[in-house]
Parts: sequence; C-alpha cells; structure tokens
Amino acid sequence: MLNFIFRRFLQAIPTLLVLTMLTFALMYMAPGSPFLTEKGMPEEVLANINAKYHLDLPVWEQYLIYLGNLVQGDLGPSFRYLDFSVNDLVWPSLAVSATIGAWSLLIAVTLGITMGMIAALNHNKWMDYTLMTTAMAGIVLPTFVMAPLLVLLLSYKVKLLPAGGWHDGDWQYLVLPVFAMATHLIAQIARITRGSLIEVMSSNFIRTAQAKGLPYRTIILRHAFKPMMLPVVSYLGPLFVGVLTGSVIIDVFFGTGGIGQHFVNGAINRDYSMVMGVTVLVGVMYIAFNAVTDIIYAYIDPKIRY
Amino acid sequence: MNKTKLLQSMLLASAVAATSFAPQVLAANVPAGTKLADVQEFVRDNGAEPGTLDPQKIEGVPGANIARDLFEGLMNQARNGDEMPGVALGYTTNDNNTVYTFNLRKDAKWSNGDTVTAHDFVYGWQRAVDPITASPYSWFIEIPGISNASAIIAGDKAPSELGVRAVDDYTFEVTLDAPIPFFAKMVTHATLFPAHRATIEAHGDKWTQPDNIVTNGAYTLSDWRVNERMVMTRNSNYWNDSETVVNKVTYLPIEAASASLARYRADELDFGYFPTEQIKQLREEMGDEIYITPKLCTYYYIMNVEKAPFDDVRVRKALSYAIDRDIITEHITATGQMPAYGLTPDITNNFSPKAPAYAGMTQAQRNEAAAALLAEAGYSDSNPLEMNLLYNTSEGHKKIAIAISQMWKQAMPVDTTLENQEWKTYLSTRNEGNFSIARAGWCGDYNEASTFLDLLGSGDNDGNYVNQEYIDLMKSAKSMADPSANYNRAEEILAEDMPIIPIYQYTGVNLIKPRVGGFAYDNPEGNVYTRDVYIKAD
Repeated sequence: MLNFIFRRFLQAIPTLLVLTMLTFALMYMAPGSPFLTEKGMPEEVLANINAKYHLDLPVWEQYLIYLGNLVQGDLGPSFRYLDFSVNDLVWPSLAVSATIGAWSLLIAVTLGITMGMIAALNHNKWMDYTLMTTAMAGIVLPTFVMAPLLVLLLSYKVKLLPAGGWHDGDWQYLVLPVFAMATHLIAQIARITRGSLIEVMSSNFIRTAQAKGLPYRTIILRHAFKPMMLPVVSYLGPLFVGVLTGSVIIDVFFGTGGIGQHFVNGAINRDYSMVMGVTVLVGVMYIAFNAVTDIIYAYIDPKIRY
Repeated sequence: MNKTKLLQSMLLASAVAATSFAPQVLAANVPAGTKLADVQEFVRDNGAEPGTLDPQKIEGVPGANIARDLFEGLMNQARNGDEMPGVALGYTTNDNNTVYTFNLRKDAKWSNGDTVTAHDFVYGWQRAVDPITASPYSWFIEIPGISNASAIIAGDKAPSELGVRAVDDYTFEVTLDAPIPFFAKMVTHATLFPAHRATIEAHGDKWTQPDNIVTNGAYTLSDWRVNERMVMTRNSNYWNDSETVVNKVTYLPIEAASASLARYRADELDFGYFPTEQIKQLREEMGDEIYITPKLCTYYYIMNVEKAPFDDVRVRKALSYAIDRDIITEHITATGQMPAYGLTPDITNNFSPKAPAYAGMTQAQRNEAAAALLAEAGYSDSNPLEMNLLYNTSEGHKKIAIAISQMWKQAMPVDTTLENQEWKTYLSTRNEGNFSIARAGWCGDYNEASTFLDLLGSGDNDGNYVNQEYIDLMKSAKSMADPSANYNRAEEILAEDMPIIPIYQYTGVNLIKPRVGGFAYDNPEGNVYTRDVYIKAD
C-alpha cells in the first residue's frame, strides 16, 4: 500500500506541471489583462504596474518565476485584491467552503444512503415511489433555485435564519447554505444507492445468504452494504473535491466568502495568480482524493489489488 | 480689493463659518424631535469587494465609498456635490489660480492620536505618483497638472519633485502647471487623501489590514473578511467624532442584486439594491423605500470613426437620429433614466448643457432625417448598411441593443448583427479598435463637465475620433473661470461630428430602510459619508 501511495505521489508531479503550464498558457491567451480598464490609463502608469508584477517579462520567464514561488508555497500577489497575496485569500475562503461542503456531504451521504436503501428494500412499493419522487424533485431543483427559495421561506416569510453572511461559521449562518447545497446531492446519492442495492439484492451471493437462512439484517449490512457502496463511492470521489472547493452560486447568493467566488471572479478579472492558485489547489485536491478513492475501493472490493 | 484678496476674505469667512457651525454641516444633522435608536449600526451593500483600501490605489466605486468613511481629504463633498471643508478649513489661490494654499485644521488627528499635518498630504500625493507604488489611478494627479506629476510617473523625476509642499505643519501648498478652476473639487477624491507614513513604511502592502491600519476619517477598520463583510467602528480621535452618530458600519460586498434584495427583505441591510426589472412589483410592495436619483453617468454607443462605414459622418448621424431614446428610458431601463443627446449629464455642477438641435425634433422628423442621410451615404434596400454591434455581456445591454437594432431597421435599410463579449474581452476589443460600433458608459471622476468631455479631448480614445477644434476648446477650458461656452461648443461639435451616440443618463436605484436618516442618496456622484447618517427609533 505504501508503495502505491508513493507511486501516486510521483505521478502527481508531472500531472501538476502540465496543469500549471496549460492554465498559464490559456490564461495568457485570453484577451484582456488584469489592469485593463474602461477609460484606460497612460502608458507610463501601465508600465509601472507591469514592472511591479513582472508582467513586462516574456511569458515563459513569468511562468518560471511563478513555479519558483510555487515550490516555496507562495501563490503570488493578487491582481484584483491589491492588499492581499493569493495565500492570504485562498486559505480562509477554502476553510469556509470546506466547512459548508463537509456538512453538506455528511448530510447528503447519511440521508441519501438511508433514503436509497429504504426505497430499494421497498422496491416498487409506495415508499419507493414517494422517496424517488422526492429525490427527483431535489435533482431538478438546482442550487440557484433552492437558495432563493430557502431564503424566501426561512429568512423572509418566517424570520428564522439569516439570509446570508458567514460570521465565522456560526450555526445559524451555516444552515441555509448547507441545505441549499445538500438537497441536490441527497437526491443523487439516494438514486444511485437505490439502483445499486436493487442490483446487489438480486445477485447470487445474496440468494445464497438467503438460502442459508441468515437474518435479513445481516444480509443487508454484512453482505449487501459493501458492494452496494461501490458506485456510490465512485460518484463521491470526484464530487468530494467539487463540494469542498465550494460553489460560486452559494458564495454569491449567501455572501459567505467561500473559494468558489474567487475562482470565477479570478477568471473574469484576469487575476492570473488567483486563477493559478485556485487551479493548483483544486488540482492537488483532486489528485489526493482520487488516490483516497482508489484506496477505499481496495478495501470494499476484494477483486481490486494494487 | 483684487480678486485674490476677495477670494481670500470669502474663504476666510467661509472657513470661520465652517468652524463655528461645524456640527450643522459636517456631521449627522439630526432634526429636532427625532428619537434615535439605541443601537446605532448601519449595514449597507457596497456592490462589490473593493480592490484595495489604500486611498492612493483605489480606482473603483466600492473602494471610494469605504475610503470616505476611513479617511478624510482636504475638502469633503456636500450633499449637492459642492465642495466643503475637510481637513482643510479653506484655501487661497494666487492671482492666476496656479498655486493653491490649503489651511489645515489643527485638531485633525489620525486614529492612533498623531496629528494630521501638511506632511501627510505631501507624502500621500508623492506616493500616488511614485512608480514604486504603481497606482492604477496615478493619472488622477496628472489631470489637474500638478507640477512634475507626469515626469515622475514616467520615471524621469523623483517623487520629491512633485509640486506639493508643506509650508508648515498646517499649510499645504500645491503648484499646478496651468490654472484649474475646479481643482478644489478634485481634492475630495481618494487619490488625494493623506497617508500615514510610519504605518505604510512599517507594514508595506499589508498596512490596510485591520490590525495595522491608521485612519483619519470618522471610522476605523475593525474587521475585513474578503467577499463577506467589512466592519468599521468610530474613530474616537476624529476631530468631529462628537457629532457622529452611527457607531458601527458594516459594508457587505453583495454583487448580485437578487441577493441584495433578499437580504434587504430579511432586514439584514439598511441600504441595498434590487434587480431593476422587478421595479413594478417592488413599487407596490415597498414603494416608499425605493429611491431613484439622477447620477453623473452617461450611457452611449461609440463608433470607430476610422473604419468604414463609420468614417462617414452621415452614417453616424443617421444611426444616432433613428434611436428613440424615450422608448428606451420609459420601457426598457424604466427606472427614471433621462434620454441623452449630449455626453455631459444634465446634473453636472456649474454647467447646464444646451440641448443640440436634433434633441428638439420629433422622433418622426429624426427618422426622416436619418433615412435621408443614409440614402445620401449610398445605402438602400438593395445595398443595406451591415454592421456588428458590440456590447459587454449583460441582459440589460442586450435588451437595449435589440431595441436599437430594431429601431434602425424600421427607420432605414440597416442590418445589425449583435455581438456580446465578456467584460475584459470586450474592453480589449474596444481598446484595440477591433469594433465598428460598441456600447460604452462613463461616470464622472469629479463633478465637472471636463470629466466627460475630456474622454474625446485627445486622439487617445477607443473610437479614434480627432477634432482639433474640440481638443483646443478642451485645453483652453482648463484655465477659464467659466468654461461653459467652450463646453457648449464642444457638445455642439459632438452633435455635428457624432463620434458617439448618447443614449441615456443613468440613475441610481436604491432601497433604503425608513429607519435611516441623513443618507445622502441624492448626491450626484453617489458620494455618501456614513458620519452624516443616523438611525431612528422605530
């Protein structure tokens, strides 16, 4: 297993190098630049700014400077938020997004799997239909509809919870963003779980277990649960990073200060170092979580060996 | 009494008046009998997160809003846009208006207790032009022509050679290359605020963080969470702190108008915005909380006059005439905007632009004239004018572009293809002149017509429009006591040459809770000072 982790680590280096190179190139190919404004500015002013941020150097040289700083953990200065470095901005905002994401996932996984299992075990009965209709509603209601709906109901009609803000993650401020984000996930996970469990329940080894006269509980928890989780885990693996690194809709609508907004605004404002910083961060997380998913796979599926 | 003496005595009188009646004019003016709320907290949407809080680098509206609460310049702005005393009690000028001497109040203090002196202004202004600061707004010091500003920005002279001087601790002198009558208006801008040298030298780019910042305005920064909130509390060392009412100001950087409305409705904002397409419904729901006021901004289309067919003035005029601005302001933007026929908005201080002749025609007459002009330029049903109309991606701009292209099509043989680009791409396309006709908009940097008319006052504009008479007029207007005649002639030239198509004058559309008093929502530039605000008891 250690050998496997070490190999994955070595593979990550060229992947990240290609990722930074591509992002850097694409960003510089996009029209416009960080300091381009509607009125424009005198050339000397622009020259001073370009000199300060090394934008006057050839692109390959800028890239090398960037890589040099990156290996020391320095993501560079933000071109949009002049009073901050990218490091100052991404870590606190990642913490916000990760908190919302982790709670959403926890709720989504717990409720989703429970709902999916109940539906599967009551296959084609009223319980199944009710749960799956609810799940379908969750799937078709995207976050940008859920968020204003929740605010309308719980902040405006019934003044129960704040409509936005973060306040260091006080629970009142956490509830609406978490639910807005989790609804869709609960529904997806419930559907995948249901499908998977129905399939598992009709497989030979379950029939054997039933023939042996094992209690129903044991069949489900000991024999069906692990194989049922395979498609759920492969869905959750990549989703995990996406959820932890935030949603721009949640950030914009609830004003949480999460990292999703930095990603989108970074691109819109041509904040080169911000785009690079967030891309590298998300890239590293994807690589790490893919490795974790593979390890979990090996644990739940005896057919897989590394 | 010569002009300077007269001015001096007037200013002295106004300075004395300002000092003796300071509470009435410079802080919250709470009407007698108003019951104030126990909790004096004001929460406002600021539209976006500012790029910086460093006054010398601030370039956008969100940053400027905050800077007015944290810092104070030589002069402040009154509700109607006039300048009024700030750190300076008043100023005098020499005979030809090239040397301005500001007399600073002695009780102005920084939040750490240091006195605000003329040296702080010298340092701040030198810093603004210093290439090392690399301020995106350093050109603001070039506009009034402060001596050597351009050479310092270009790296040819040292910042210490800027035409500013501390005659003594409380006398600040500015030397301009040429007389600028409206210079005192410009010093209300953040770029020309003072700077606290010790703080900046100790903390570098991080000096604006809550733990480091030293301010001289009514408030000081206590918390800053990027994209979430910024909290300010009273600066007890501010010279007029005793007349300030609001204790805590929170700025929320809410970009989406729908989110702003949601939080306003949830009673989390005292001041917010809303999606303007919801105006009808909101008028019924909360009509008395909606404030619509004219703003110092113009919406227009710019044409690339070097590129056929826009090198032909007849084509440019035809396109301008055939736009029915009333339909756009009444049915599309529909929040009180005024049709525009010139570049300068009507509310500009000390200048009432004369409407050009075509503004007085009926739309039917304009359409007829437009069709004739286009026919004269050689276009017909068999040979229609074909062009691309560029705008930056936004629903609002799209609606206007669709309406205008239809108006053109109905009035004359014109086929327009709409093209939208995201903001920076659009700016780059405009900047490089790769367009035929494009949307544009401009808000004044200061309340004087030249902030608009100067846009076309050199060859350096996106549409490549050059008219020597216009350039000369704008140049000579700089030193005139009353440049109105020049400005009117400049507007006349714009109507004759039509390098741009003015469409409408913007309005500010805000939601303000009834409990808020003293909020200067009607300031033409949207310049509000929270120290004027108070919260009434319910």
